[in-house]
Amino acid sequence: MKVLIIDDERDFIETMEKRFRFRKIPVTAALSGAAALEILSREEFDVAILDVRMPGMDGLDTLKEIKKRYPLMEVIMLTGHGSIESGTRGMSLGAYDYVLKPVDFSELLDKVEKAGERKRLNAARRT
Amino acid sequence: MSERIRILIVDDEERFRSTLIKLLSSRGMQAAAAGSGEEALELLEGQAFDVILLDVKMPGMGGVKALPRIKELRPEAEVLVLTGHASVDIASEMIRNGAADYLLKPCPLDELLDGVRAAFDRSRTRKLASGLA
Amino acid sequence: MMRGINRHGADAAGLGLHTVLVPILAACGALTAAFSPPATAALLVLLLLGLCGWSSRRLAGLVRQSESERRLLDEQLLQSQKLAAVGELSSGIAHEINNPLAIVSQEAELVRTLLENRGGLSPELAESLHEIAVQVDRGRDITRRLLDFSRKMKPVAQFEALDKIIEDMVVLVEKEAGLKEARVARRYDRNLPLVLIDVPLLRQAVINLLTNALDAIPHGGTITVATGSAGPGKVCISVADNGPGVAAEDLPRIFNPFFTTKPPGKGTGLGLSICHNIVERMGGKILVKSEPGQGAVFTVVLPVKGESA
Repeated sequence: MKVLIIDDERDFIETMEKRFRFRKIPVTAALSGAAALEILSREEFDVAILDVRMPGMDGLDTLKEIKKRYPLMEVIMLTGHGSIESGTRGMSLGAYDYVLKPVDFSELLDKVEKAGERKRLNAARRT
Repeated sequence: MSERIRILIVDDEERFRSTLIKLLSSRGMQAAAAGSGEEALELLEGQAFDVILLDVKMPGMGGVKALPRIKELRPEAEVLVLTGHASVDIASEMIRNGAADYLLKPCPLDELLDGVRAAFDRSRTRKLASGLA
Repeated sequence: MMRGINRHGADAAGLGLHTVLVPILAACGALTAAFSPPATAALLVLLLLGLCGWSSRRLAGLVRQSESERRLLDEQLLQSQKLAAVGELSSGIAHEINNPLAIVSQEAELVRTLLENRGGLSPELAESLHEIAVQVDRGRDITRRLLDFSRKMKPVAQFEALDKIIEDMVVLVEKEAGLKEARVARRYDRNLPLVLIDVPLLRQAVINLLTNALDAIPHGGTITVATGSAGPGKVCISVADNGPGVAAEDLPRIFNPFFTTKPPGKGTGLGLSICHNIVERMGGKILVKSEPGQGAVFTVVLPVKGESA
């Protein structure tokens, strides 16, 4: 399963990368929505972990673009702020889950695995 | 950026077409319109465009059927789907069939212009790249 | 119909009482009376009449009860179908409204351009044109929520713990609840089986219910979220609030798209109808119980094994 992390905070990304690698899960990082879309145009991913608040292209816009172009990919939204409004919008735009930071890593891992499972089930249905 | 963007609007609503032509022209673009998929294809046989705005729900051919034919005729043109019709399935199908983006009406003019300019830049970059190949 | 009778205190044994035991007793009584002296016979016959009368009245009552239950189920089915139809109608309308909205927005832009070419806009004109754009945006938000970009995908079933799905959304809501000094109480049944459902879809339903409850409660209010069993193969989720409650005449319309008791501009009235839609698609049922002054309880009943209910 391939995971893409999209967040403008380098520290957070580095921590996440280390922990995913330790669990032997291939993970790629993108520091912005635009960078993420660029990577996605070249490589396929199963699950994205996406921060809601980013400068430039914000999380919800990135989510919209991802769902438009890669509808099978599952996206887990992360936020340090937790606004219900963006939570509701995120879910209705197709996010798999909406999680408040700081996240317990094993919980996040569990959600990523569930999201990956959903992607596989969906993809299998279409063939 | 002194080059004029050639843009074709394909939409079955007359008023939408005529006002959009005026707005795009006032921003320095060279705009034309077609009222259906069939009309668009006829026009594209004789004329090239940089950006094509394509509606989905139109009588006759419709946007979904027109798209592959448009890409065949004018592969260098960037197609932006601009429609009041929202559905994941149609959006991803259009993008798979060559649309560069899928925009929902009503789309604020600024957003539309940004999308058009970005599409134009991409088509220019591709043209230059293929020119050098 | 049998199930209806069964559920209200007359199970197979109870029915057996009326359809087997009573006739047998009556027959025995009649036989005994035939071989008894007239006085005893008369007494026996009176007793038997009483017994049969009582039995018939009970049976009639049970039949009436099951009839009214069946009517209620029929009404609920009709209501669901109506809501589904309204939902479909609403998305159909939403598609159609987007085009006129786009034209309105463009015309306003054209007016602005023409006025600018003519030497500029007065602040009042600029403000008015801006307001047009704002209202078009508002219309757009509503149609987008209605069309709900991702909702068209078919549900995908996965196993997950019910309370986990709910807790994820509660945590989100709790932050905002804190601003109102409101609290969210949990009553999760830890003995529930894993449910096989479309997880993100259920999350959407839950977050809509929670948002609705949060809007309803006063400052310092409480939302209570509970999970439990709803009979064999079924689980239920309930979200209760201590807000003002819902008036009786509003109850039947509460899941209608656009129905809202909030002032115009505040909320679209779509949350509960989206909820209803989602729950139906998962093969479940959503019910509301409320009285003015007594808050409201929304209960979602779901099959443990996906859309087979």
